[in-house]
Amino acid sequence: MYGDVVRALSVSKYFGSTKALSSISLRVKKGEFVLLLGPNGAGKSTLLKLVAGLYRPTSGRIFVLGSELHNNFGTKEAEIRKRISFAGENYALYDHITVMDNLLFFAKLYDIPDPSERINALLGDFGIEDLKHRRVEELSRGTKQKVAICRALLNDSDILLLDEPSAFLDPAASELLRAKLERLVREGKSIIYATQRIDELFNFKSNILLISRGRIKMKGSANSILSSIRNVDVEITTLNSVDAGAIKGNWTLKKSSGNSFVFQVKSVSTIPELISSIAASGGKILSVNYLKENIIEMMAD
Amino acid sequence: MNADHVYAIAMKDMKEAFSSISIYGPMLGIPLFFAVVLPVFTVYISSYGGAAIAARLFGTAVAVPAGIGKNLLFIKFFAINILGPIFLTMPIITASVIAADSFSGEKERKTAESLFVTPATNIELLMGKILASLIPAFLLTVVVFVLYAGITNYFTIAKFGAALFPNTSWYMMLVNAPFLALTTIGTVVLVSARVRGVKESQQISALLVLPILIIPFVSVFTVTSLSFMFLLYMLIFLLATSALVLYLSIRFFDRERFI
Repeated sequence: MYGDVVRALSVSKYFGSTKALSSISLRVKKGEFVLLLGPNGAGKSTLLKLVAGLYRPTSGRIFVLGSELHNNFGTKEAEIRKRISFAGENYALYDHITVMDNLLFFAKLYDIPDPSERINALLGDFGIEDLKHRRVEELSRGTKQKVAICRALLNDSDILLLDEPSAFLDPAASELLRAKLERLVREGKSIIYATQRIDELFNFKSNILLISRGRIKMKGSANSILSSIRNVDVEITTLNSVDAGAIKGNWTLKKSSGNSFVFQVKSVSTIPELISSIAASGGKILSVNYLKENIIEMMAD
Repeated sequence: MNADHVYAIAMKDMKEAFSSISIYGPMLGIPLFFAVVLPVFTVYISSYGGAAIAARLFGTAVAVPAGIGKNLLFIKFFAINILGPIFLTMPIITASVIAADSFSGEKERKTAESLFVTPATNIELLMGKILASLIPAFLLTVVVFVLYAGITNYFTIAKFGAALFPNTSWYMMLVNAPFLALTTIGTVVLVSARVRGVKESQQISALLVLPILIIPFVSVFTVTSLSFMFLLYMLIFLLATSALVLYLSIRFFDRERFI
């Protein structure tokens, strides 16, 4: 439909009387990276599952590669599903069988011929090839997450739906995933990536949808989303002691404990000025962190 | 329908089932009890109290064939009419254990979402999972039947001068077994979508053993006997029931209820 690989039209989803999504519309083009950002319970996972055809919308329609995916589908929809991958927030692997058996099973369902080579390559990319004969139940949470990502990448799909894929990954694996996804987008794949981690805003060149309480609150770039958020709490830790209260500007000092200070800035664009001011007053800055809970709360407002 | 998908799903489910002691434990423990402990128990009881029990069961009016004591009559009656129906619970128990893990397990362990996004169609999913439950349930039933028959024959062949098993009733029970398993699996599919986990699913589907357990009682009270005709009627009933339950389970299979 109009060249969109995913198109959701006024989609709402209720679970009983609980509203999970309210009249959401979404368009994803070929080769587009869409980042769904929002706190827990915002509706990100529900939206991804609707696109994946795991849920039916209560109202509205969703077209994926030009077709609606129903609950009881036939051959045509099976062909479309071959072109979709999904990695949910639960790693959703079979615990009692090995990593290799898990991946071979999914490869068979996606009709991938001679999948062993591809599986070995993917596992090798994430540094877990030597664990392929281990049962999934013996793996750490992070390793299970890597296997789940390998499964999602197995079928070389046109649409990749990822729900908090980096939640349990170590920094090296997160970086690898980021690089892989960027390459896939360059190859024309479309990706919808859900996260509640504010630090992932700048990881990808993406269109961002800010979701809260089942609605899309805002669309735009990382900068436009961040600059629209007011009164952000920022925690700054210094190596040496600083008279933080004496550093004046477009912010207020909310809390200080030793060399750790929590400032509330009027907008995110003020943060570089705050950092410069601390440095100018002799502070050697060790770390700067957004207080995530605070930002997520603001998103939910 | 893609047979490779069906095969892959069935093999994966069987591999999972036989990798978890919580599944294969009861699946092997109960059959072993039925196949080994019960025949030994039967022979032991009959040796010491069979005549008295038989007299109580059949009264003194029952004509005992020449050369066969009441304890032997008891063995024969007990082995066929009492344990026979109990053996019919085998396909129900084993099918319910595997099917509950296969269907409700996907829901409980949240693996259904990765399975349901694949190109496997509903029919392929159901066929694969039904086969994964049916094949082990039927094979285990056959093994238990053979073991039970072998052990019972070993202990009694000298007394009877001929083997008690196999006989027509037991062949007919064996023919009934897969349809009992299919009815159970269909019930599990219907129930799984509506319960939270494996345990609830198993408990509800295990209720199917209750009608089977009535059979020994009606047999004792001579309402019926496990004759060829009785088991043929039972087979016709089970054919119809399993077809209906499987139709309903496919007709009302709703993926969203498993997510």
